[in-house]
Amino acid sequence: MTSDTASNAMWGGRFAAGPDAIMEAINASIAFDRLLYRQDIEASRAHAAMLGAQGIVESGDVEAIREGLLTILSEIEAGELAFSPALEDIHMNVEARLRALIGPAAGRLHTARSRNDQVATDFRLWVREQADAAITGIEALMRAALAQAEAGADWPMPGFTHLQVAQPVTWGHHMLAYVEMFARDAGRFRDARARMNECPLAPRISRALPKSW
Amino acid sequence: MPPCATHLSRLAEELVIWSSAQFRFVTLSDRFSTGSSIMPQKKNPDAAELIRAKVGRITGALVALLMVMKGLPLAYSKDMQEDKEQVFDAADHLMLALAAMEGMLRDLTANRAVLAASAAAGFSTATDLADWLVRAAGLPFREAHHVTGALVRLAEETGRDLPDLTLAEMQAAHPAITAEIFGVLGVENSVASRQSYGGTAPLRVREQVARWKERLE
Repeated sequence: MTSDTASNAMWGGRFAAGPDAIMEAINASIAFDRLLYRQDIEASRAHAAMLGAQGIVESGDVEAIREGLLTILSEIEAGELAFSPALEDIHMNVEARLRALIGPAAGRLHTARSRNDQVATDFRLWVREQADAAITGIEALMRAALAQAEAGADWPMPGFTHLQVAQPVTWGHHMLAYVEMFARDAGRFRDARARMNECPLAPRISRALPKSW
Repeated sequence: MPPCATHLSRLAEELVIWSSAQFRFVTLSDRFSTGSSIMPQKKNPDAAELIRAKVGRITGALVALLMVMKGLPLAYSKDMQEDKEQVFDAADHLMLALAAMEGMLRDLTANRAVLAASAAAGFSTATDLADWLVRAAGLPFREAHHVTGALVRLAEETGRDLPDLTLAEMQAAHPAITAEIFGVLGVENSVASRQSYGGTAPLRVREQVARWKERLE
């Protein structure tokens, strides 16, 4: 059974028929990558600015693209944009909406990039935010452990090895052990954030761009 | 995320043990506990148990991703699309676990008297006794360990704790022992005697608390 959708508007040039419904079901990622809409729009706006700055797309089109993307952002946040599985993913859903808003100039946004570049960028931006959120959460937890440590700095308790009493410690000392552990976890998130804080835009799958683009 | 989830799981396990009737080291707040549908007396540490379990889910996501990426040739393959849901899910549950643990820790009451009574049990100051033999009587640590072991055995066999042994009994184990030794056998003394950096002496603990407070400001 083939789906009723005509061949894909974004890449369907060489296709005579649309995808099977099951093909669409296994292929589409919009059900979950819609979560990346904010990062997708942010990265596209930056990409459009680059295309303008490099003289690849003229400034009128760049402005229309960047403004249109902001409109889409508000539409999504207001729950007004219906995502379509036929458009596969967040990138194509945004681009299709942009075309409806500003016309053929929307097609210039995808100059010099692939969806693989987009998703790599979106995901890095998202993970970077999550690393920040994790650090904030860990530090809040550290403060809670620290409050316990301060209250019971001199309250003796058993220290254990093998869950058998070993030597006396204090409640504060024990709580501080967790403060140190979680501090190392926050450090790991900072390290990971620094390592992935690079922009993957513009390899266009695996090559750079032609010199005279 | 898995290391952080592992640490949360270890703390959660301690809370489960500590809040049990056998330990009673801590009392969890009602806000982070639940009751039983059949046993009216129960107050269960469900939040701690769920936090303890999150590491399975979060590390499972890591393993799933490693298996997806295994054997992929360069550059892009659609396989990689499978990463999103694992990472989204792991992040959601890590944030939830962090928030729940913070709430539990803020709310919980440590039962000071129970902790203190438990600290003195189980011959917990035996190492202090051995250290005293090294420091004050000049014994090699191996010999001090052996002498202390004999005293612990004597105490255990006669149903007493180390501070309850007489000086004569102590001296029978080693003639260099003096009455001064009783000063290191109390829990408070034991804790206060560890004064090097990061030690259990309350002064050192407060120093660390101040250091971390400053860092977290």
